[in-house]
Parts: sequence; structure tokens; C-alpha cells
Amino acid sequence: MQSFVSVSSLVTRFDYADFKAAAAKSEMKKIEKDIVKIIGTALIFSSFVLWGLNHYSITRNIIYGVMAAAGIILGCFYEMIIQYSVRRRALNYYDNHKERFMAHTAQFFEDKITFKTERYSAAVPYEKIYKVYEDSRVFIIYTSINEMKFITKRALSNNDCEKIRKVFQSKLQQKYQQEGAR
Amino acid sequence: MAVAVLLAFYFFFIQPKDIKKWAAQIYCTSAFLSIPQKIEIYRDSVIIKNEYEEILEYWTDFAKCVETNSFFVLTGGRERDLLIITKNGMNATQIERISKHFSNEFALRYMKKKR
Repeated sequence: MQSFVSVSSLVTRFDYADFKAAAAKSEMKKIEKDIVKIIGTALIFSSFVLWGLNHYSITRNIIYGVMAAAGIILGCFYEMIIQYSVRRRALNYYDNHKERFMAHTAQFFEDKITFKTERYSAAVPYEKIYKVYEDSRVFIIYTSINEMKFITKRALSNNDCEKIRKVFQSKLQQKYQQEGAR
Repeated sequence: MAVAVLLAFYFFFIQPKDIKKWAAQIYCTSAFLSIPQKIEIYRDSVIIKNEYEEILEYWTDFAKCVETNSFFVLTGGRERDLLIITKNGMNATQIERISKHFSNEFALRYMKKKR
């Protein structure tokens, strides 16, 4: 049987950072994001209320200022900070474990995906996939909650991305998540 | 004192439950952990084969090896994060040879538990 998309690539440090950042985004639940935003808003709001009630002491003004700043950081920049720290950790990990990253090939067939590296080969039917997450830079294929393969879009043409997207949409349905994909 | 009691409660009751829950979640979501697999053990490496995958891992890739009465549990592999080798079906000589080999290969990363 002929594969409809075949992709071979060597993982670069930025590919690995993109993958880790996307995996962190995929694992972050909506409720977590909402809770952080609510805490941030509550901090900003309470700092203004407290400042309105008592703004004659410099020490208290500083505390309210810090509260408001913490609220803004949590409410507006929380995701950005998480992404930054995940990427940084991934880049460090890559630099210290370069030998772990080798060239791999993934081939998409109508009924399965095959993965091949020097030390690993697999033919995974679509029904055995736990979930797939796609963002603007990678496709992450989860074979369990903590085991995943990723395919960088850098190595794919727009046409290939579209073909892969279509097959995931039809075969995985609810198990296929997209965020910021292009 | 209260903090010590709370910490003891957390470490003895809550944390083990959470770990079991997390392990059950991994098992339930993995398509490959529950299917039969063939494990070939060599001096430097292991080959794991099942219906869908074939994996070659070197012992140096694993972070840790824990031996219990029923299993050898290896964690932190490059392709397979958790490798469980059951002693069921091995004879006493095989178990002893593998145990000795892992003890030498993993050195400080090898741990033997009584249960």
C-alpha cells in the first residue's frame, strides 16, 4: 500500500522546543486557565478596593501595587510565562541530550501511521491513537497520556498538512484537537 | 506538630492514591501496555516487540531499575518510559542471572525491594 504523505526530518533544538511548548498547551485544561484569570482579576480588583479604602500609608500603597502587578502578570501573561519557561527547559534539555535526537520518518497510510528511527519502528492504526494535538508548528500524536511522537510542520508542505488534517478529522473526530493551526 | 501530621497524612494516604490513579490512567490510555509483548534481553540492550512496535533500548538509556518479587521495573527509557518485565514464566536461574546483570549494569540506579 502506498503512503499518501511521507515525512523525514532531523529534530533541531527549536523543533523540540516547539513540541514541548505545544504539549504543555495541550495539557493545560481550560478550567486551569479560567481559574488563573479569575485569581488575577480578583487580585487587581481587590488591590484597587483596598487602595480606595486606605491609601495614606506608603507601605500599604506598595503592597497594593505589588498585588495589582501580580494580578496583571497572572491574568494577562501567565500562559506566556509558562510557554517561555517550557521552551527554555526544552532548549537546555536538547543541548544536554543531543545524542537522544535522531532522524525519523513518518508515513501516513489510510489505516495507520508508521514511524521509523534507527532504534524504533511502529505501525500504529488510527484507532490505537489516544489523541492528536495540532498547533501552528507541530502535530503531536499521543499513543498514551505520557507517550507521544511529534511531526514538525517545517518538514511538511501546506498540501501535506491539509491531507494529514483531513485524515485525522475523519478517523479521530473528538480525539483530534487543533489550536492556532494554519 | 500539626504540619508534621499533615505531611505524614499526605505522604502515607494521599500521595500513594494519586500515584495509583496516575498509573491507572496511563494503563487505560495506552494501546500498547496491555497487549502481549516479547522481550529479548541482551548484555547491553533490550528489544521489545509487540503487534505494532519494535523498540531497541540500551540499558544506559534507562534512569532506574527496581526489582520486586514479581517484576523488574525499568523507567526513563528513550522510547518506552516504563518497561515492566514480569518474573512470571521465568525459572529461578533466569531470574537470578537477570537480577545479577541488572545489579551490575545499573549499579547505583538499581534497587531491590522485598515486596
